[in-house]
Amino acid sequence: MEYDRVRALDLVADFVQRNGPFPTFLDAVLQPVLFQIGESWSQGEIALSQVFLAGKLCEELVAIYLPESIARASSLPPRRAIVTLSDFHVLGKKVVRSFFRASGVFLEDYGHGISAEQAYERVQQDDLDFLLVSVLMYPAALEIRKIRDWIDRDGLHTRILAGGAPFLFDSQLAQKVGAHAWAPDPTRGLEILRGWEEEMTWKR
Amino acid sequence: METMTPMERVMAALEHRVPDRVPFVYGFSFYGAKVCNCAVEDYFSDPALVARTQLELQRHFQHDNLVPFFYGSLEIEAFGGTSIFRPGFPPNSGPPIFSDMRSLKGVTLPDPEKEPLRRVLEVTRILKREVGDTIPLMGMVVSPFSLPAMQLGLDRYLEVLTTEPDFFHALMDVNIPFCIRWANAQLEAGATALVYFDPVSSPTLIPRPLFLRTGFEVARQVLPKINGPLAFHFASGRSKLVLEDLLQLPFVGFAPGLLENQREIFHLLGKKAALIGGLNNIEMVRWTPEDVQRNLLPLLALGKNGGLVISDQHGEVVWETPWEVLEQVSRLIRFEEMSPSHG
Repeated sequence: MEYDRVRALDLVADFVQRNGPFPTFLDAVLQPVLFQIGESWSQGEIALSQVFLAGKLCEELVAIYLPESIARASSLPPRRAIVTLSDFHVLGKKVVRSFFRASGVFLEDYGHGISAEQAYERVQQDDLDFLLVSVLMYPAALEIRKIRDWIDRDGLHTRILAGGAPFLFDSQLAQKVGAHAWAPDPTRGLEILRGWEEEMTWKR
Repeated sequence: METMTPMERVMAALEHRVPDRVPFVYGFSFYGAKVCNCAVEDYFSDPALVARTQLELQRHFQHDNLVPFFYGSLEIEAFGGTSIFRPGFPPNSGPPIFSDMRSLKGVTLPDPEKEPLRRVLEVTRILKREVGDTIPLMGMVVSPFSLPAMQLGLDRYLEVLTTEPDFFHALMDVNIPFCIRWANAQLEAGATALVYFDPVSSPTLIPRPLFLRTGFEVARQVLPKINGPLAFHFASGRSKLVLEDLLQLPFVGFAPGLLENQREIFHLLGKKAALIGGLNNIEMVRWTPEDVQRNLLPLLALGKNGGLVISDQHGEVVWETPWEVLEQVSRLIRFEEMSPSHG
């Protein structure tokens, strides 16, 4: 797997010219490739730098070919957001946002170094449906418990999807901190989110 | 067999000789602040307190090391950056200090004898004075190759590594001499050995071909210039894909990934280096006495003839780790091998 941004952009332009609009490329090539990248990362076959750069490139493609869809998606329900809790390492959040955006899923960015209190304030303000929480350090993972307790206390419907290294190292951690689910990679995260959104559609 | 000192025990294990029991080391860095019930930044501003706490913890748990190391982002502070302190959290590096070639202009190499690094040297000197050659003092340096993860932020650094070779080399021109100077200053102050902390070289973070062109070449330049024994540490990143490459480097101990099969890595290392690891520091927070047994007994069998130093896999004991679990681990390691059923 090599990173060649210019060649990749040329190949996509060529594909679009020959086979039709960008969404065709999205469905036929990009989404299956992203799925494969996510799987390979989970299996330890490729490195985080490769996942990061692939996501960044995908994000660039979507911004070039579908700029209006980004603006539209950000204003439509369901309301989804991502936050790096109590931490200043933003790589995980950036990777997830890129992958999701390339799959047509917009995530509001609640920022990084955010406390549980600040994150929950935003959840309430935005009447959020899904909160994705990215953490690197173990104590940051424990902060999720507070958000979950406040969600339950106030009877909100918000679901929490957690991700980050501590969850890989302890399979019981997500349950302990009250996350509704956790994902080892962005592809699995996307599957979980889509499953939740289908449940929401059915309820409506 | 006569009881060994911690130094003799660790050296035996590292040299693949039979120790009196398998040595174990605890990465007590900011956990000391919890023990002293004080703010992390206050704790690390007082070298005498850090040294005293190290000695008290060692007397209590009887582990086979002392840790003059403070925290990784201290090196960023030495370059003029900041650390962020929060109760219960390991110190975290603040905003990036470099962004591009221009930002490196005028950078001077930090002097280990000045603030903030001098405090680590002071702790090292106090501990050396107190224990002499009976307990190994394990210092730490962040590798020149991994330091930019804090200097630039990891996301920016991964871009630089892939697409900005000139900036990468300029960073190494600064970081390599600093690392060698900082490592040797710790050894001169009395550190027995150093951990070379190099998480970015792990295949978890970068692919092997890139590692061979970058992190490996940096380590090949740096490690021979450090005047003491070294342990190579991936900070819980995977190692197996590059293990053969790594074994060309001069180190005596190796700390592989948390999710890797420790037994497999132990055998792959053979006599070339000892395995340092075996304890999942995240899971340890919730271990029961049964978990302690289940996790430790296979390690004790694995390391009884040398080649293993039991340690937490990430390099530091997590703040939330219960005191009782640390005691149970210590007791089991120290007394289990005397039991006839596991002799």
